[in-house]
Amino acid sequence: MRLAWLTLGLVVITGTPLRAQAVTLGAGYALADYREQADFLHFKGSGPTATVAVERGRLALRLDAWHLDMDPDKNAAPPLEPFTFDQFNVRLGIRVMSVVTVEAGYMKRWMEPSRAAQSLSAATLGVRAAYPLAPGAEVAVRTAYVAASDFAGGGSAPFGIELGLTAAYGPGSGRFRLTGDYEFQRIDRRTTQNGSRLSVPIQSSFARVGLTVRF
Amino acid sequence: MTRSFMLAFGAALAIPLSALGSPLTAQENPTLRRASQAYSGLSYVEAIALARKASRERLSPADQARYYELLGFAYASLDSTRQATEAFKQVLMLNPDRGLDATRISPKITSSFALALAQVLVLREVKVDSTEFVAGVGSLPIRFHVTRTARLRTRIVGPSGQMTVDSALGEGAVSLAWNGLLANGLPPESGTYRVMIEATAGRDSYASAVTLWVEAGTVDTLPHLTGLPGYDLLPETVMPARSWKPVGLALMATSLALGGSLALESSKLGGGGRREILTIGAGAALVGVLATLKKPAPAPAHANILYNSLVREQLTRRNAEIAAENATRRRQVKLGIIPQPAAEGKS
Repeated sequence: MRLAWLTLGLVVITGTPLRAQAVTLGAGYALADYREQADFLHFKGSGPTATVAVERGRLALRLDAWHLDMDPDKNAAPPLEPFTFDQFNVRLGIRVMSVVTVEAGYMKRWMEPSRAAQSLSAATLGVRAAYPLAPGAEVAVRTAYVAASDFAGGGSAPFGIELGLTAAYGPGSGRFRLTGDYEFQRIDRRTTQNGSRLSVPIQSSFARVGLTVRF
Repeated sequence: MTRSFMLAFGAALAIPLSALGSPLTAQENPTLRRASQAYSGLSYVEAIALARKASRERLSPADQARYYELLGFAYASLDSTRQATEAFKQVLMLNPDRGLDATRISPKITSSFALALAQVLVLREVKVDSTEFVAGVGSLPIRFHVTRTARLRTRIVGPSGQMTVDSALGEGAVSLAWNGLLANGLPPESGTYRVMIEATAGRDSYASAVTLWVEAGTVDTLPHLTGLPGYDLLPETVMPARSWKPVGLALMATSLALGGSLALESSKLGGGGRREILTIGAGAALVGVLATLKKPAPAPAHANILYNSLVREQLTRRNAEIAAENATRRRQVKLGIIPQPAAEGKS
């Protein structure tokens, strides 16, 4: 295991980018705010995240993994139990303008224990605009429509949206960057109970701070 | 009467030999000198016998020529045309430029000499004059006389290379011109060169050479340009002025995210967390400030790049013209030709 980390470190430090291809590896720590159904189901948590991104020409593939430990907010209604929040995102983007990328993605979220919160999977379609501010510095905003949601507890979501903000800064040309990501997500889940439709929205926001290396 | 006529006729034959400064008058070999005196005394048979005796002695090349000439004269005087012709052929081989003055020498002798001249293959009177000319523009005249129809090959050979001036059948007076260029298209460097003329007719061949001193003038070539005067290359990148645009962009992006989040928060859920957006928003604003303070990346100056490409294109074109001009100048070198003494010939 130590050898594997050593090898990875050497690759990161000495690796040179392939022509027209860039690979970015990142690790970070995230803060999360999660709400579901009503204001009394309110959780806060934190945990590690990991990112892998590959860019080749106009295409970009990005994978994100989150593992968060969520605890009931102090203002939440008891008794609520803590749970672990695992999420995996994959997004494939194609740059259509110099700063604008159209992205299609898929996300899957697991909650453990499953009764504590809603596990789901969904597809996303959105755009991302990234503005280089200086060598090694960039800011980006993104938004996506969340569609085809599938909830472990049943129900459907006719509307869902994501917002994102990313800021990155690194010395020199930015091979190593300090990054900050903000993700806001709202999914208007609806279920049917005893023949009546219930609105059980899910809303989450994440702040992630991490370090990426590009090679 | 008969004796006096014979004396007068003999004197007529003998006069040209002395009057022309004939070799017969200046022999080094004593036996050959006695043979010459016998010829002058009209004792042709004795002259032949003494000449034959002299030939068995060691003769210098000049005396060899004189020996054959004495034989030719004596045999012609004795009406032995065949032997006279053979003797004169040897004379011509040894001294191809030898000639007889038909107005002062007996027709018997001159006709034998002419017969020999028609039978032998030699190059006579090879002449290359001292001259000056510009290579490729002027020319060096080369003149000679070939006694029989022969294939003639004339070459210039020297330290810088060689050049075939002409290769053709010829007879009689031949006049050629060398334009001063070698086979590589360039004029020769200064040095000693040889004009080599080879004549071939059947199994007979003869070669003659003239040594030349060629003085090549200096060539003033134009230097290649590294830049066009008055058209300096411009920097192809420019350093943008410091701008607050990065801060503006960062704040705008933060505002979009913050505003969007606030707008999209579900009221049913009691709003949303502020900690996350404030953390990252503050970070984005900080990134904007740092990017503003960071040394900006050099930006390509498209106008300068275009200008430089035009200047380089013009420079390349100008250097190509200079190269062509220099090539012409290198060809057009002034050559001074000074023939060196004595043409050589051999069969």
